[in-house]
Amino acid sequence: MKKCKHLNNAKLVLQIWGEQFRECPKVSIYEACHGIVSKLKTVLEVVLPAMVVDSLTGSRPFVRTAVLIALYACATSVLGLLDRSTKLMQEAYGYQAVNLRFNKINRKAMSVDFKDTESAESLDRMETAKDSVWEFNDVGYVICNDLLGNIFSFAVMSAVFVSLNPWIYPVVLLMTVVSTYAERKKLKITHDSYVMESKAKRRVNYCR
Amino acid sequence: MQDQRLGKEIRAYQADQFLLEKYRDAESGYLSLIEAREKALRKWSLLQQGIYLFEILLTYLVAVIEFRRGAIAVGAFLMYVGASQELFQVVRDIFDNFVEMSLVTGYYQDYLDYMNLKETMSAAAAEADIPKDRTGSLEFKNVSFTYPGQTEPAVRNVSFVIRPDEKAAFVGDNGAGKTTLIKLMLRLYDPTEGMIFYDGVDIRKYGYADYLKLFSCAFQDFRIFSYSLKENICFDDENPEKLQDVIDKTMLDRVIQKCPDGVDTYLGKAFSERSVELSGGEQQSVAIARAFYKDGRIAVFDEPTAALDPMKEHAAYEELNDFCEGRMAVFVSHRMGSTIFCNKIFVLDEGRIVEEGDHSSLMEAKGLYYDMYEDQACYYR
Repeated sequence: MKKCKHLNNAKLVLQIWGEQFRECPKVSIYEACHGIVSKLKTVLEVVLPAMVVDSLTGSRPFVRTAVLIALYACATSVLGLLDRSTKLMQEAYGYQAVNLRFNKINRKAMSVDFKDTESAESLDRMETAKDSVWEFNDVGYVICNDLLGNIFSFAVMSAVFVSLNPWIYPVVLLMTVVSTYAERKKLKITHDSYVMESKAKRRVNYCR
Repeated sequence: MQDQRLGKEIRAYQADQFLLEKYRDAESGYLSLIEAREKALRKWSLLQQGIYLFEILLTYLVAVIEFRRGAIAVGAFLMYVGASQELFQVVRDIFDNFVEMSLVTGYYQDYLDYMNLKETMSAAAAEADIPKDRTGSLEFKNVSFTYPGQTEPAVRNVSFVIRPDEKAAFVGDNGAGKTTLIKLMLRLYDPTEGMIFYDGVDIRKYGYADYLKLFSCAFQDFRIFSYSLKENICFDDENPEKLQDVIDKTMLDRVIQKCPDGVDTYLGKAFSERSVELSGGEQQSVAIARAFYKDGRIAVFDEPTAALDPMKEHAAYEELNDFCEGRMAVFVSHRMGSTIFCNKIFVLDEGRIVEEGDHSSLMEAKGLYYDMYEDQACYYR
């Protein structure tokens, strides 16, 4: 039963992302680019300075150190530039994707039965839907930017980590699972609370 | 309070303290929800921080041991520490990504709760076509209506017929049910009892959009959009000749005189610095022009001249009379003088039609209409 629920959730996530991709493919493309670029930058920032230090403290030729430093400087500059640029584009298209959802809410507001535009219950429901757009529209960002970048970083860092000390690896993974459980609880609390918060916010916005 | 349209009301009644208090109450209600959420989150955040601390200490411990026994150099030590911290973060992030994705479905469900609201009126398939070449009669048959969540009906067992070229007026005190009747006529609501017919067919059988196309309306609580004057009248159906014709037939030329860019002038400050702010009466002229431009077969005017001064009101009624010539028209007004040119007048009281006839017959009957007319007329004598 639970497996079935997870499967349905996964399908729904892909459905949400699929809808977003069809309507605004550029947002997913820029999210993926930004995810990879930002993680590549992080990986280089961990690996290259360490290689420079080892080169300096060891008996390696100075040319090798100079090449590493130049490589590090160039790579971080170019990646920094790409990081900023892809982030900006991803934010701009992300905003467009959100607005496309809001347009759907606008169209809905115009086509629902008139009674549903006048009742407090429907107005609260619309406010919650508007707030939820900002949350679930991030699913593309999570898949394309976060997950893709994180998997890339995970692969590289695992290789580095295991090569130095393999036994600590499972301990870290176990601790992280516990931490993730805590994160899940936090997100659940946040979601449960936001329905009430949306209603309260609608009232604050009116009073403002 | 930031809404400029409310500014006059707030200042005139010195309601700022009252409204600030309301704002504070609403805000403190919102803040208490946020505080409750933060309190519930705290213990889980502490657990996460504890784990993170443990992971860092463990990593450094192992790194120092490896370094001291000469297994790694300084650079590798730094890389090891850096990589381990990035790895913790990345593993946590990957799990978080999956958790986030699973919770996203909850938010999506909230979105769907609204998006899946039934569209019983607009989505229903048309079972009948609106006659294209003529205007039919409009008939209310034993119509009653109670607003959702209310117990008392706003309209009770109302029956009447308005023929294609008739001008009808609904008069009555506040809360008598006049505006509700208009809402039912426009099918913003369906009756809780009884039926409404257009051209002898239940209006629910017509396509919703087709049915609404029949009407040219000017509402009491009309809205002016912060777009150009032209767009406020034509929306996306611009026809310069038709627009000029409407301008010629209405008092809009006076409005245009104060517009620096003519009909392209923006009304309101949202989109243009060269915009103009129209007075209430001028805005009402725009709302009436909008109805004229639509040129619907049935004209519905709910208090169409409420914001106009007496001179302009008189002129506006002449314009309305011309516009309504040869078409069905429905007026709702408190001003009894405006009903004189109507063929049929319905007097409403507590949701019922209590009198019906033309002006002279109702005056002769000396009933509620007579009383209301006399009450208003005495101020003009």
